[in-house]
Parts: sequence; C-alpha cells; structure tokens
Amino acid sequence: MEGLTLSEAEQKLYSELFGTCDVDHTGRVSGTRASELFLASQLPHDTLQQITELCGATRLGHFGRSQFYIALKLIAAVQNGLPVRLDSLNTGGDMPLPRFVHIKGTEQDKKRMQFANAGVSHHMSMEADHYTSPDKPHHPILERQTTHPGVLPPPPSSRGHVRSGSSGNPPHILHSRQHVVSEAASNNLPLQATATSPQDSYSSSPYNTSPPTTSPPSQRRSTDRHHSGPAATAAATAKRSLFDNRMEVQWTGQYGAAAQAAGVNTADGWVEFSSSPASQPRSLGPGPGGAPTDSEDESDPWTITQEQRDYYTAQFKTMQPDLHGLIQGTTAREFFQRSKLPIAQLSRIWDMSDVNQDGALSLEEFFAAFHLVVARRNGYDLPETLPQALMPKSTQPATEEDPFAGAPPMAGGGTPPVPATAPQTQAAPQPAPQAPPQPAPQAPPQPTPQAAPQAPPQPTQQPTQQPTGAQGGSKSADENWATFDENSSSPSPVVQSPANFDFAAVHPDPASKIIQPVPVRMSPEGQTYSDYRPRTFSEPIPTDVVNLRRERSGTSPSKHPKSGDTAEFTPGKIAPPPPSSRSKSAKSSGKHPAPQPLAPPPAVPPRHVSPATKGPKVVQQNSEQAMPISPTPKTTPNNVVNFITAEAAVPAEGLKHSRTMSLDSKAGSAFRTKWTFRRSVSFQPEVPLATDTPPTPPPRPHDQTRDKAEDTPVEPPTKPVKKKAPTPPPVRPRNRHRSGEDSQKSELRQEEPSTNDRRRHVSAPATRVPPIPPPPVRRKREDIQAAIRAHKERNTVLSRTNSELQGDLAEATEERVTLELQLQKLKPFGVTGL
Amino acid sequence: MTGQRLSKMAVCVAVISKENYPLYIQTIPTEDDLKFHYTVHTSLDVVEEKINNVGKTTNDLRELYLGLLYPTEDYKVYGYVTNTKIKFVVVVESSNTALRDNEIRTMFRKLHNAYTDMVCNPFYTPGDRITSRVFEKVVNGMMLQDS
Repeated sequence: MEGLTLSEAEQKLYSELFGTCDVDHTGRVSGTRASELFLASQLPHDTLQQITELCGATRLGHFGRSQFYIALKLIAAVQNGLPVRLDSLNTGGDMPLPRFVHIKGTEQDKKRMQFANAGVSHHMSMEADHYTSPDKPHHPILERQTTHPGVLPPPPSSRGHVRSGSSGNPPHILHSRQHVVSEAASNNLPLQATATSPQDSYSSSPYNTSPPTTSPPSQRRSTDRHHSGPAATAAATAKRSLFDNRMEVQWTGQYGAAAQAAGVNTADGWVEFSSSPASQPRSLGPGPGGAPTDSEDESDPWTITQEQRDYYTAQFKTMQPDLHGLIQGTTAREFFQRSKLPIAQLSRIWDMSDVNQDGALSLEEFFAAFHLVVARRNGYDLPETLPQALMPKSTQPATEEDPFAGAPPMAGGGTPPVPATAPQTQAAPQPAPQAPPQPAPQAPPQPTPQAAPQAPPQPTQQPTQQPTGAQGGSKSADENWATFDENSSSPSPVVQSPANFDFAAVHPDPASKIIQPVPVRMSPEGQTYSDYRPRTFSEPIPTDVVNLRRERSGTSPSKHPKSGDTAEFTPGKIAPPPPSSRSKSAKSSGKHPAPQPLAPPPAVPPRHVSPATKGPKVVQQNSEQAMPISPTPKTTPNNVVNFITAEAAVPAEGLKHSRTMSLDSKAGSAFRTKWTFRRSVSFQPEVPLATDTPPTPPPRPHDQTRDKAEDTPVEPPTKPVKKKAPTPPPVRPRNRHRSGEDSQKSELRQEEPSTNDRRRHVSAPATRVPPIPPPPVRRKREDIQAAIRAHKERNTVLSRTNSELQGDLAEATEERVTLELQLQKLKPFGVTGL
Repeated sequence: MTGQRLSKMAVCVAVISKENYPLYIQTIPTEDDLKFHYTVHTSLDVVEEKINNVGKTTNDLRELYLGLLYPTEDYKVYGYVTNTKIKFVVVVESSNTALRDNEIRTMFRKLHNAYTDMVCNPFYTPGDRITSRVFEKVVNGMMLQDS
C-alpha cells in the first residue's frame, strides 16, 4: 500500500467504518458493502469507480483494510475538491474526513452509519488520551450534543476513545444533525435515553461480554425505545439516539439482523450492558422525562438524569436496601470493579465521590461515583475534581483538605439547587410508576446526604478542631512544662488525644536546652560546682530554688531526725527515706556535672529573702526527709530558730547551701527534698562541733559544698533537674560573698561563684535559645514558685543541719565536761601529791 | 524560585510503611532526590529508636509526634509515627528558622489526615505505593508555601 498517513481522526473513522462494513470479521470489505458506503458519500459513481481502482480493491476484488482506508481518504479528498489521484492522499494532513450522507433508502448504510457511530462512540475505551481527533469532527458532535447534552453521548472531546469514536461521528453527525434539528425533541429523548441506556446497561449488566445476547436485547430494546419514543437502543449506544425514531424503527428491523453483528462488533461491552434488563427503567423514563431533562442535560454533561438516578438508586438498593444507609467500601469496591475500570481510576473516582471521606458511599455519593464510572466507560475523562452536578446535595463541604477544588464548602449549597431542581423537574413529568420511586429516592438521597454530611461535618470539624486544639495544645504544652516539672516526672508529655499531638509536650528543639520538667534529683549539694556545670537551666529563679534545695538535701539526708517533716513542700515528690534520698541526691549531684551547661541565671536576690521565710517549713521538711527516724520536735524549734537565725544572720548562707541544687522550678519538688536530705547528711559530718548555731551556717556551706562535690561524682546521670542546679549555685556564691565567712567559705564562695559564673556563662547561651518560645511571664511565675519550693527545701535542710550540729555540740560539750572532770580529779592528785 | 525558598515549608516528605519500605516520597523538584531519599532512610533508625524508647519508659499512649529526629548541617529531619507504625518523615531546611515546631506538628497532622482519608478508599490497599492525587495535593501544599 502506498504510504498512507492518516490523522488520528481519520484513523479512527476509517477503522470504524471498516468495522462497520466488515461484518463478517473477515478483514475485508466486500465490494457491495463498500459501494454502499461510498455511495453515501454522494460522489458520482465514476469517481467512486476510480477510487476503487486506485485503492486496489478492484485488483483484489474486495477491500482490505488498507484499500478501504485509501478509498475513504480518496473520498474525502474528492469531497474536498481534490482530483482523484493517489497523490491526493498525501496532499495535506488537514484533509477533512470523508462525509457520508445517510441515504434513507439504504438501510444497510444506515445501519452501518449507526454502527460506525455507535461503535465508535461506545467503544469502551478505558484509557483516555487515545483519541486526539481534531476539533473539527468534534464540533458537529458538540453541536449535536448541545441540543441534548447532559446525557452521556459520545464524549464531546471523546479523548478517551480508542477507536475513532468521534471520528465516526462527523459523518454521522452531519446526518444526524439534520435529523436532530428536525426532531430535537425526539432526539433529545433518544439521546438522553441513549446516554442513560448505556449507563444502565452498563451498570446493570454484570459486565459480561456476550455479544450475541446483546443483539436480541438491543433489538428488543430498540423496539422498546421506539415505543417509548426516543427509542435509543442501548446497543446502538448513545449515538443511536441521534437518529430519529424513524431511523430507529427501520433499524430495529434490520438492526436485529445486521446491527447485531456489527453492533456487537463495535460495542462489545456496551452491548452487553445495554442488554441487561436494566434498560427497562430507561424505557420508562426516557419519553416523558426526556424534554425536561434535556434542558438540564444541556447545561452540564455531568448532571444525572432522572432515569440515571433511578437506575443508580436501583443499583444502590441491591447493595444497601436502606437508601439512607451507606454502602461500605468493600462492597462498593467489588461493585465498581465489575466495571472493569483500572483500579487507579476507580480509586480516583472514589476519592472524588466519597465527599465525607468516611470510607462508605451514601446514596448521593454513590450517584456521583456511578456516574463517574459510567462517564469513564463512555470515554469521558475523569475530572480532576468532582463536578458540581455530582456533588451530593447536602454535601458537607468535604473535608478541610478539600480535594474538590471546584467544590468549596459552598459547593454543597450551590450544587443542591441544581440537582434539587433537576430531580424535581424530572419528577414532575415522570409518569406514575416512577413518581413513587422517585420521590422516595429523591427524598432519601437528600436526607441521606444530609445525614451523611452530618457525619462528615463532625469529622470535618474535628480536623478543624484539631488545629485549634493543636494551637491550644501547644500553648498548654508550654504550660505543661512547668506542671510537668512540678508534678510528674513522666517523660511522656501530656497526650490529650491521639489527634492532638501538637502539644505533645515533648518539644524536641527546646529539649536540648530546656530541661524537661523532669524533677531534678539534684544530688547536688556536695558538688556545687559540679552541679553547676550540668545544670543548663534556662531560668534564673530556679537556680535559686535549686540552691535552696541543695542545701536542704544536703542537710536532710544525713541524719536529721529533727525537724518535723513536712514533705509537703514538694507536693509530689517527697523524698523517700534518707538512704534513697541520699542516693538520689547523690544522683542529682552527680547529674549536675553531666547535664548540659545550664546557665544558672542570677536571679539571686530574691532568693535571699525566701529562705528565711521558709525556714520553718524547710526545717520541717528537712526533718522529715532526713529521717523518719526521730522526729525531734524539740529540735525543730531549735532548728527553726537556728535556721531562722542563721538565715537571718546570713541569708546568703542559706542560699549558698542551696547553691548546688540547681533544681529547676519545674523539677519536682521531690528533688529538692532530696537535696535537702543530702545536704543535711553531708553537712553534719563536716560541721565543726564548736560551731554555734550562728556559726553553723558558715560551716554548712562548706559541708554542703563538699557534699555536693561528693554527690556529684556519684550520680552522673543527672536528670534534667540537674540543670536547675546551676541556678542555685550562682545564688550561693553570691550569698557567700555577702556572708563573708571563713576562708573555706570564702574559698567555696569564690569557687562557686566562679564556677557558677562559668557555668552560668556557658549555660546561658544555651539556655537562652530554648526559652525563647515560652512566654517569659509564665516562666517567672514558675520560677517564683520554684524558688519558693527551693527555699523551703533549703530551709528544711538547714534546719536539719542545725539539729545535727547541735547534737554534735552537745556531744562535744559532754566530752569536754568529762575531760575536765578527769582533769580535776587528776589535778588534786598532782597537787596533793606534791 | 529563590524567593520561594524561604517560604517553603518542607523540602521532602516521605511516608514509610510499618515494614519500613517507602510508600511515598516526594521532594521538591529542584533538589537532589537521592540525597533526600538517603536522609529519610537514615532517619528511620532514629525513628525506631525513639519509638522503642518511649515504649520502655511509658506504657501509656505513645506520642505520635516524634519531633526533631536529627539535624544535619543543612536540614532538619522531623518524624511522626502513627499507631499503625506508619511513619511520616519531613525534611526541612535548617535555614528555615521561621518554621516553628507547631507548624511542623500541623504539617504532620495534615499528613496523617490525608493518609487516613486515603486509607478509607476501598481501592487502596494498605501497603501499596500511594498514588492518590488527593494525597499528593496535600503534600504539595505543604512543600511549597505558595501552593
């Protein structure tokens, strides 16, 4: 064959025509059939003869595919005024398609035409993008369709047609248009019916593919249709509707014979679908409802006609008897998989039609999905978003991530009017049989979508709430920090709900710097310095508190049976028995060195005052923590007094004590208590016996320092609490300075301050970063509270220490007395001896 | 494009199944995809570590948002794991300091919602690669600020 270049449109049209003519599937078109077709082109016989010769059919005696194509192209060329020569074939790529005029007399032609059109249009092309026919051929189609759009006739753009569905249209269209014009009304019906019929058939038929069976039904159907008016036989596919009733009538007769074969050939899947009894509803509806529907159909090819709606409803009922109910995803999946569309497309259809994203289809959603599937089967491309016409009436504005770009929340409002009116108008003319079912489906669909939307609104709201919740959550999370520190040491932040992960309390960024509230078990005391280091506090105040705590812990653990015990100052974290507390404090102290360099912010001044005020409490706490052992009430007052005195005398001292405790305010107060224990323990041994109460404070710092030092190495893994430790230390050093104690103290002080400062400096930058996000105000409050707690702890520790020292003092005094007595006894001897 | 860089939210978004194979990875086109794929792959270790640790310490509800998994010189990697062990990993630029933790959480929430919506689709088999356009739209929406 000569090099024949066919455009897409031409290719499709030609193949359709060839298919139409080649009813025997022999791969050739007999001369008679071809001549019939060619005659339809209204070319003179001579021309046709020439064409036949040129294409080589004469030689072969029949039209092979290539010959057929050549002939067609030649016809087109001739129709356009080009000479009948092979050269014409390659004249231009934009040669219009051959036009075949339908000749009434030629039934076969009609059939063929119809088939050509039908087959073409109805070819179930799953994949779009096949057809890229030029616009020209489409125009007629479009025009035709404008008269009765809505129904799903051959896709206007029929991009998806594998076969030149639309290509088959042009010739058909020209012809049909005439008819259309003359019989718009009837055509409308047929169109509509046709459109619906394929759908119906498609949907109803179990997607089987038995061409033969279809023909009789189609024939029947056409008969029915004919009766009904539009007589759009499904088998013929939408195209058929184009033809007026007369044609159909004629067709019917012949259709049964020839149409079947041809029709079957081209409209494989379609035929079957159409054959299904589902067409019945169609036949009912089309006639009466045709006109009104058409008007709507014209507006939007996606509008579901009443007939379609009824059919869909029937299908819905097969799966879900309750029209208000939902079809579950799996059920729907099986159902739609019968359509033989690729899963990817079905998935997209689902995405679009499941407006409320509930994994199930309500009646309205089902309509939309079904309609989309039908459209796809007809060759329409799937839209990117759900068309307005398909949006469930009472659509709840999809989810916030509305995939239906074109259907914002308002879409629900906009759409309802259209579909609502449509069904109503459709319902009006509908005959009785449909009336009852229609109102029912009409009503239920509306309530159903409404019901469904109600569910969606909730989920929709939830997402919206989530963001707000998240927002709130995040804020609360920040606040939670403080609470965390104070209350629970649980690492997992508050999780209000699985969805609200916003404030997962765990802030990764700050985590590095900002200590998790985890209660600081500051063991600190002994190691003021070490404590300092690890504490990377971001809050100034806490450091003070920590200091306090350290002191307390230092004193308490050891053996402060005295002071009453009020564990309460650490609400949740009352230190456990001394040993554990000791260990804890040790731990905390150990931790101090480990943790990040929290900058113990200065915030010292206020501290000074607090310890004093908290004296009593602290004492009590100290005692309690120190040991359940012997609560010595008597000592308590002493301690208290001492403490207070000490505090008063050297407020700084107290602070110093707490220095090592860099307990963060957030840290559980328990830590503080522990510190207290620790402190007391450490203090005691080191407290010089000679010291009086007043002097005790001075030595205490020393002890504390040492304790801390001891503790620090013990417990390396300090928790975040340690971070707070640094803060107290800074306080202490300052205090020390103020107190101006003995050399040791001064040394310590100096060390501390320097260390603290160092640490502070180091940690400062680190802490600075994280605190940024949390509101400073809140922090201050927390800090103050933390400071208060720290002070209390410190007080306790101090009181314990005090009591211990007093005990030592008493012992020392006793010894002294004893020694003196002995001396006296001895003296007389010596004296007397002499 | 440069102008948009600063406003970009995420540079790479990945969804990993519970068997730790990728269900979806999307990077901004101008970047080297392979590098991000590698980054996401290495971040899986950190994710595993976090979810295992949390499980040990607390028996109660595990936090879904894992937070910053690890920062590299140029990027920061955030993680989020659902209760079904589906992991979401988001890579953002380190230079994007304006990106607050809250915004990251919002991002993950959106991803999670989009994922659940997609799972509701009966035509999606969990474990398949994600091809949902809706989901892609959500992801693209968070990768480019202006989209």
